[in-house]
Amino acid sequence: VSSLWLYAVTTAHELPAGAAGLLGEPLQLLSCGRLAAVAGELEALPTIGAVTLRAHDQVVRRLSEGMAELLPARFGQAAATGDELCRLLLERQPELERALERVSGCAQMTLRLFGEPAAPPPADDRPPAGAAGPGTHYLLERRRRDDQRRQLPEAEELLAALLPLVRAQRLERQVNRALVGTAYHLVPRPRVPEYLRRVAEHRVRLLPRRLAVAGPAPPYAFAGEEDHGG
Amino acid sequence: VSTLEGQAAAELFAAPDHSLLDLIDNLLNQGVVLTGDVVLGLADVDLVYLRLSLVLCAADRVLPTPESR
Repeated sequence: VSSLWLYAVTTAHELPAGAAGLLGEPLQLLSCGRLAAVAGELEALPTIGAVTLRAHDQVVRRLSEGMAELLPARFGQAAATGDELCRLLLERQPELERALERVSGCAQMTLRLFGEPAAPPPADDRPPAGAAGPGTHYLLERRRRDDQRRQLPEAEELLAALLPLVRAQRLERQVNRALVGTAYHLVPRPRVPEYLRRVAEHRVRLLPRRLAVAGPAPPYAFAGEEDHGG
Repeated sequence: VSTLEGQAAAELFAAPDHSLLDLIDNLLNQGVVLTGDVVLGLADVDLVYLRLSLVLCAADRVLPTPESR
């Protein structure tokens, strides 16, 4: 039984010439209202592995070079028929349209900061002013910790220098296997060289922490509903 | 981009391990997710049943081992 393997969602009305999928299958552009799905028909679904991930990514990268508005799909999204695929996309049409508008003409740049994290600020043990009880205090502390997970104070100066160049930013603090955190930036393609120049300027100031840069890439990290306001 | 900037950019990108990390992060953690079910074959592992909104990844099957570097 064949399946339609989803590569991307777009508003485009035609595919780049010769577009092919990760197994060489011809790509189809399935019109779903104001959206369109870029998919390939596969007899057997691909396994997860470095080779198939790279092949899928290459397909999406080639598409993104020829299509200004493109939301990459997560690896593994498939449907039995075109109608089913459209139905699933149309359930989220407003959200996907907003995301497509946001990523238009942009590439994703990703910064990963490795090294020792800065010491976290101490927990606030004082009772909240004007609020009653330990429950409120607990919830406020939870919110503070959630906010911290979306901050990278170790790279504050660099992020401030980049912010004028980016359309949207997502920060994720990981503190996992020496990875302090990740910054995902949505950058208009003409601004990518200036973005890279500023990153190169600031890199040495981050030492001894190490900065890895990836991109320009399709906007994988900006395909969801979250608020990515810069 | 000047030559110097080009060199700086090339140096920043010259991290093959990071490229795989980036690939896994982008393709398995990000991107448009449909709602529904799918069956994916995990490399060399029995077929696993996944909710599309919850992608599982056996990291030791995807990340290169020290011997393979």
